[in-house]
Amino acid sequence: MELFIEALTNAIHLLLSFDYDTYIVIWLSLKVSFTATLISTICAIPLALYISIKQFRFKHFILSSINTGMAMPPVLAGLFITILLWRNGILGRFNLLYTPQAIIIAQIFLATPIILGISISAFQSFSKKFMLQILGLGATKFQLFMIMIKESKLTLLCAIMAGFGAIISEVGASMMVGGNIKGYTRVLTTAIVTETGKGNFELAMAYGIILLILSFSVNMILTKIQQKNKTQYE
Amino acid sequence: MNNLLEGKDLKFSIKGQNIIDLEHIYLKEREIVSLIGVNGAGKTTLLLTLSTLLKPHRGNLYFKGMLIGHEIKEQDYRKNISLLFHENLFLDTSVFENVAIGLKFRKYPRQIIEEKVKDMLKLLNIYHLKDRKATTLSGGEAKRVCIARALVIEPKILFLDEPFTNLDTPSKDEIIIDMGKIVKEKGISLIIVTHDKYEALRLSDRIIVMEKGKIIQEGTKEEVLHYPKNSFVASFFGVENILEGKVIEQKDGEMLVDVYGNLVEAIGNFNKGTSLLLFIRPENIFLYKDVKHIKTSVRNHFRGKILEINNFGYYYRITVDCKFPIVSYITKSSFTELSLKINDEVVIGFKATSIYSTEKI
Repeated sequence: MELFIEALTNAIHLLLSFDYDTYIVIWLSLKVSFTATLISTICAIPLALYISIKQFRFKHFILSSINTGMAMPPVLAGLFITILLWRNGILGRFNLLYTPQAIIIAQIFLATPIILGISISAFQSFSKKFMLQILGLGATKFQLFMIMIKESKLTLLCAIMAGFGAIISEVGASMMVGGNIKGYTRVLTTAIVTETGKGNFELAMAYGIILLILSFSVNMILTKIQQKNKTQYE
Repeated sequence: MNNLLEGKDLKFSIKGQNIIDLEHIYLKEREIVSLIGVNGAGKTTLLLTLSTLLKPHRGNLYFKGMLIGHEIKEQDYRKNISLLFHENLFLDTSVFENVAIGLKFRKYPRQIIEEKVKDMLKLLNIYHLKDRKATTLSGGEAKRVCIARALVIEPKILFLDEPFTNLDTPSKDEIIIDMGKIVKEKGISLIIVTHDKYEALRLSDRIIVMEKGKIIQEGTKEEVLHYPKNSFVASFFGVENILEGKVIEQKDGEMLVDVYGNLVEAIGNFNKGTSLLLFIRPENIFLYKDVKHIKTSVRNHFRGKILEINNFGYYYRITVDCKFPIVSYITKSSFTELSLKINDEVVIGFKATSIYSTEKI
């Protein structure tokens, strides 16, 4: 308990003293995870719409793969991305390994199936008649898609929250593809691992608490938006 | 009057089975047409095809004489129509926003949207509900909102798929009256899929009867009601007595038909030996305690025994076995006067002119 209180005090001190190293780690964590969530969302939602509406061969197989991807171990994602970005790998010539971009790619790999999977189930809950009704009132296909997105906003926000939560807290992939380089690719989770390894439990705990506060703040904002929409007409 | 909408040679099939297969269907301006038929007759598929929400495997659709998809874009045609299903299918938002949706799709300015929606809500007596969440409304209120949503865009054609199912009779009546006024005022043409004969008779200028994807009869309500082409059409419109027989003799439009060994006089020009279906409406069957009460104009009369009595409040439905079953509707006062009971011996009678006969196929 004493250690915990000390860590909490340390965390508050680190935040209030505007410790440069700490803020660099926070900034990097937020930057990579926000960017990865944004790109995953932009890719996943239109793809989810397509998969939900269209009938095509191997749809069942693709859905099963997405559901499996939702539980992808970060270390495995890290391994795939490392092989891809390795000097002799398919994307080796871009020299991305051990850069923040590499972490973003790995996190996209982890967040996309989560956002995709939840979005597909949201879009599949629309009946065929609902879609026919909207088209029958004169909507173009694009307008229909926008209506479906608007109608599913609560679930879509939930999907984005789940995706963000998964990647801001993962350590395996970030460590493998980012290399945990201080001031460059060290994010909160890899910083916790490093400080724990060095026996700096107080600092590790402080980073952990900051991570929790960050995660809580982002989710609180999203939840507020979600609940506001829910209660608007009740 | 030119056809507003026309379908030629329409065919839609699933796994080789024809769901619709029609040579020609049309809708005139300001016309109200009912599509009736049993489940699986292809009514909803036809409705979706005519609204271009389902692409037929064969055939063409014309709007005001223009070939849809060639001379007029499908999307432009759809701006002229509206659709209303039996399910409410609301957006998770207010009544106002639900009604406004079609206008938003047509990119009307916000001010005009507000005016049009308000006017429509007032016309349908639901203005007070405008800020309520649409999914929390009662059945009748929700249906009015659906109608407002479909009519606010002032379509040229409104397609309705069993719109009044699950509504209680008073609500249904009020809604039909209110909707009818708006439709008439705005000059909207309607195609209604229905199972309800009263709805079909009350609303339609023309009735189309479908069976297995084909049109088996179409005509004015009088034509379909009084001259049904087959037993399905007859029974749908309440002709409870459908007898099978064979023409024994025919002279100058008067026929003698053998019905299960009994001779029935009927009007018609079918040749001797032709197999017929005879349709007699139950309200045209007279019921007597004795032959001596029968009027001379009633040329067909048979003795029988009462099998069943059903009390429908303001009338009684009596089933009589005269070697073939006959159903008669009699008023409450006649029932009391005759003091009828099950197994009573009675005489049933019907005029030759009350029978509509058609060749049995």
